[in-house]
Amino acid sequence: MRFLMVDKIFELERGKHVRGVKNISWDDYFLEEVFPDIPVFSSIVATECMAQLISWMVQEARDFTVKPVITIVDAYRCTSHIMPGDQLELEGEIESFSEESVLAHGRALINGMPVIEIEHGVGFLYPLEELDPPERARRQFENIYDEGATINRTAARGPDRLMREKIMVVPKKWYDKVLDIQPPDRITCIKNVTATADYFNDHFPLKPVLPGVLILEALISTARTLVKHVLKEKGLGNRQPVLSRAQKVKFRSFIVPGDQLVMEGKLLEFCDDNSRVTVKGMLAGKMVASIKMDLLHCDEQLYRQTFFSADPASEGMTA
Amino acid sequence: MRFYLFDRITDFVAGKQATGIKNVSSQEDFLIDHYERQPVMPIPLIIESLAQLGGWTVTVSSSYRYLAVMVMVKGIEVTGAAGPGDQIVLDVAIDTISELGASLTAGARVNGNEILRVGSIMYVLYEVPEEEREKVEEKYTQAVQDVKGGAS
Repeated sequence: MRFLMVDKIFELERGKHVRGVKNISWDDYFLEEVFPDIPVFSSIVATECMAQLISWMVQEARDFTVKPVITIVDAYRCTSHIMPGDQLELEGEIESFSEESVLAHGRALINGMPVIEIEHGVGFLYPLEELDPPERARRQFENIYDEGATINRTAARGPDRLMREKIMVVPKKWYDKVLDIQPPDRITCIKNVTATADYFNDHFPLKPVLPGVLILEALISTARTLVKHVLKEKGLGNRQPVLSRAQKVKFRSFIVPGDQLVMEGKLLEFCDDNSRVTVKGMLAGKMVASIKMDLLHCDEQLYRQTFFSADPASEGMTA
Repeated sequence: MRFYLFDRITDFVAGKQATGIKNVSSQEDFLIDHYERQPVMPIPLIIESLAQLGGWTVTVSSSYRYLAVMVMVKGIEVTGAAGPGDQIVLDVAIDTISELGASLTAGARVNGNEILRVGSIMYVLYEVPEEEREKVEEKYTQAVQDVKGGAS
C-alpha cells in the first residue's frame, strides 16, 4: 500500500490555488462498508487527499524546503459517500501564508458536485529534508503534475449497480482494543502504533509519523462504537452512526511507532436520529489530539437516501 | 507490510543488553489469516522481533564494526500469546561475543507475564569494511530515530 493520495495535479496557481484528482478503485486499501455490500472509500481518508494536494502546492511554492503538517481543522462536512470507480476532484486554496504556517481550505467533488469540505485547516511548516529527501519529493511532484490535463466526468454512479458486484471488502479496524465502556456516555479504547504499518513508507520516508487522518479514524471509530452500543440498547440496532460533520479537530504532537494512543470518548448529546460526541487522544496522560463530531443514525434506506441519492447521475440510473 | 519488527528501544547498555517494544496492532497483515477467530502474532515473528533487536544490539555494541546475521535459535519456550492492542516488551542480553559470533538470550513479555523465552539466538558476524562503517552507522542511528521516534 502506498500513502500517496493525489494521482494528478492539473491546475496550479503558485501558492494560491490548486486542483487535482484522486481516482478511487477497487484496489484501494481504504475501502470500507457502513452497510453490507455498499463499499465506499473512507470519507475521512478523503480529507488526506485534499491535505496532500495542498501540501504539494505549499512544497512547490517554497521550492521544496518545507512541508506542511496538519495541526488544526475547524470544520469538516461530508454530504455524500465515495464509491470505487469515482473520480474525486480535489480543490485547495491558500488563505494565508506565513514563515511558519499556512491556512487553507479545500473540497472534494464528484461529477462537479461537492461531497466533502474542509474549512480553516492550519498546517505547520516543517523542514522538508527532515521528512522526505527533497529530490524525491520534487520528482514525485513532477510525476503527478500535468498542467491542463482534462478529467472525464462520465463515470456513472449508483449503489444499485454495486449491489451486483460481490467484491469482498476487508473490514478495517482503526483501534485495537476497547478498554472500558460505560454506557450511556463514556468509552476508552487504545490504538497501538507499530513500525510494520505500510503507510510509514510514505509518511514519511525519513521520519515515521502516524498520519492525521488515521488518528481521526481511530477517534471516530471510538465514538461510533459507543454510539452503536447505545443504539443497540435502545432497540435501534438497525441504525448505524455515520459521520456528517466535525468541528475543532486538533493535533498537538507527533504520534510515532511504539506509541500507544488512548482514546477517551464522551457522548454529549443523543437523540434517536443523531448524536454529538467528543473524543480525546492521549499519550501517557497528555492530550495529543481531539475532535468534536456529529453522527447521523441511519438505517440502510436513510443511508442510501442521504449519502448517495443527491447525485443526479445515480437518479438517472435508478429511474 | 514493512519488516520492522520492533518499534522502540527503551533501554540499551552497550555490550550487555537491550529492551524494546513491539506494539501489536489490529491492522497487521499477519493477523488476517492467523487466526480468523483468535488473532495473535505468530510466534516465529516474535522470535524475529527479538532477533532484530538482538542484531541491532550486537552491531551498535561493536561500534558498527560487525553486522550480525542469525544462524541458529535454540530452546524456544512458548507460554503465552499477544494479540491486537498488546504491547510486547522484548528483552535481549548478550551471553558471549567475539569476532566470530555472538550468542544472546531473549524473552518477550506482555503486561509483565512472560509469553516467550529463547535459550539462545546465535549470530555470525560479518566485518564491515572500514570505508562503509559510516554508512552502517547512519542506517542504524536512523533506525533508532525511526524506532525511538522522539516522542518519549
